[in-house]
Amino acid sequence: MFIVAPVVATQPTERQRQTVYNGIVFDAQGYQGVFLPENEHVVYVLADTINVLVPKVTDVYWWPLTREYRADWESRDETLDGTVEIGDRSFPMTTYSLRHDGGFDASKASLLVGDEAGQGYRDYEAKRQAYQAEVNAYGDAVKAFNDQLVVWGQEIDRLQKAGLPINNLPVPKQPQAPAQVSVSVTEPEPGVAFNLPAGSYAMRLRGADGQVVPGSERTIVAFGPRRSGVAYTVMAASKYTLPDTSTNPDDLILVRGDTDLYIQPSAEREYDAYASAKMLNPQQHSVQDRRGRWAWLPSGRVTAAEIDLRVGTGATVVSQGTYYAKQRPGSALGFEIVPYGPEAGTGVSTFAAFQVRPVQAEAFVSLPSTAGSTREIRVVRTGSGNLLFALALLPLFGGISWVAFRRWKTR
Amino acid sequence: MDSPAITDLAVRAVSHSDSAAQPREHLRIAGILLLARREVGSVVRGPGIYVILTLASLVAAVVVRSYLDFIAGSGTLVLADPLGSPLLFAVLTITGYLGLVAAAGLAGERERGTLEVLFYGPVDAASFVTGKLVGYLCVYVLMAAALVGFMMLTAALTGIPLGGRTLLVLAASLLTAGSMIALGLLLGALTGRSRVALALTGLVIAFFAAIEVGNRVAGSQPADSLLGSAAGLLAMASEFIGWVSPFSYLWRAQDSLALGQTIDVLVALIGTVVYGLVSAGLAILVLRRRGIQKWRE
Repeated sequence: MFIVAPVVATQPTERQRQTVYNGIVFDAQGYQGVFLPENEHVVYVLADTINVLVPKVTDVYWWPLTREYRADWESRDETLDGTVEIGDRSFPMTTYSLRHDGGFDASKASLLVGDEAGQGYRDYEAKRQAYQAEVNAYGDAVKAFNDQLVVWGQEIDRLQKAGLPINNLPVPKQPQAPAQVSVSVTEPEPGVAFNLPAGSYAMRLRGADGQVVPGSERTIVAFGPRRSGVAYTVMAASKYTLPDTSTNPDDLILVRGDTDLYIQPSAEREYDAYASAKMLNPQQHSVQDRRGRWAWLPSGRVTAAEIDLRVGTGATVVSQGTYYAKQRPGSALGFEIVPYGPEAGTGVSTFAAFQVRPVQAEAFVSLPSTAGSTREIRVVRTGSGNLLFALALLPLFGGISWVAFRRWKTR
Repeated sequence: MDSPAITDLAVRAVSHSDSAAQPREHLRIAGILLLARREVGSVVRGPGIYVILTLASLVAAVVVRSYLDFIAGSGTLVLADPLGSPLLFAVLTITGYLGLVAAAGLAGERERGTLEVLFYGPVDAASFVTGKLVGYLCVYVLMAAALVGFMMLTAALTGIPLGGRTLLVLAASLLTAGSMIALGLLLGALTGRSRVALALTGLVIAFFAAIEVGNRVAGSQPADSLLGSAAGLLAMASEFIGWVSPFSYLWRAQDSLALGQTIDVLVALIGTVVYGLVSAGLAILVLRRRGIQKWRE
């Protein structure tokens, strides 16, 4: 029993044919895919952004390990045709593609819809084929270069044996590798793109035959941000691996004072905590529906090269630098944060940040000309904790002494 | 609170009532002020206020100390209004204490029969409840002032600033204290014995706190866990408690103040005032209905 139980627990339960939706939803930074089985009756999306739903019929099973419903696409993957009706609006079937840019945003996708998707994919295919051709040509050029090197080496040997100078012998030129395609676009697929103002709507799929597809009814909630702001990731040099994040514009950054700070600003927006969690993962079990709970979600990079630092009446500008964690030599454990330079070599993991050294009791950092981006940095005296307890006992000793004195006097 | 003091107060009130030149309302106000002064004197002369003030300061000190230890270890700590939470915990300790004292005080006076003596003067149920309410509110102001002093010293010692918003919440807490005292008076009027009043008020406060804390803890648990699955029930209870707990009005005012929602702050504060008035009104009504005489076995 005890041996069999875990094995049984990992087995998917009975499959059930369902009308489901694959969602391509905007998460405030990029697009991500979500799966919406029939038991998820409410679909959460950001208001005033384009999102995509792909109605499908598939076999759904319960996967106990992750405690969620999954689709068995291999057994059945049928995309349904028709029009999605959301409230009093209708959204016809179109096509969409996801565009993945390289660099920082490699993990974040942008959305192309309709003709733009087709054109984007064709451009990508053309670039990919051109790149493939360049790679083939590069392979030939490398082969030719290697042959030239052999001949060049033989010629050098011959000249050296003959006692002739080799300086005038031209060196074979190494071919340059073609630049990789930094952007990829997925093949256009059918889906329903829609953009909704904030609100709650009834949603259903009307099939090509004019009938509502059974099991396609859902409620769709479009929600918007309550406010926007600037978040700061704050790393103390002494605890580089334990960064703290300030998302609330009213936050105070309390620091020890004997360590440098590395600050990274980013854009953020504040959303309903439950709606945003369900948007990112519709089968999220660890979130509770609570009114009045809000969550800040990152909404992209802040392209600021400088931040303002105000200390007392003086103001300075701090430029962004590139840093890396350098392991301390010898047997001493730990690392130090140092500016990145060529001497660090390649393959070093770096990060861009603003270095601030809080020396006075209070300082203010802010992004130039950005309202609501100011944060106060306070240097605190961490060794004064025991004194607080002594202070807290003052009313007891003072009050009891006074009461005792008064009683003694009246007696 | 002792009988001679009550008799003295009744005599003074009667002598006021004998003075034909004094209009009746004037006498009532004088009676209220006398009662208020008596309550302040009674509390300030006892050790309880100093014990509770120390307890409230210790609660605040423990929270601040945990911040300092975290900063010492990690280098940074990000908090909005860092002294707000310690001060709020301290304020709630004091408010709860005054609710208990108000309930036990009212029930105790009936229990000892001093209430009846007092009512021979120009004191009726309304002026008695108002006098007690004003008196305990004055005690709260004294305690809050002492607490502010402690927090200012804490700010000076640690370098953690005492924000203006924290002081605004503290000012708003006067209304919460008024509501809690009025609730205590109501519970005291409902019960005939001080021990029962004390136990009942303590239970009510503990219930408010348990639902509020339970809701916050359960809300952060996975929905498929035992506590998480109870979250829905606790949330419903919390919605209800949000209307009957004076503390909830203060939470709402604090949250709204943090978000700069002035109207919501005003709504919460007006709600607190209405709550206090309704509780005090009910206490007066109960006192009139059930009488002021010592309950017989």
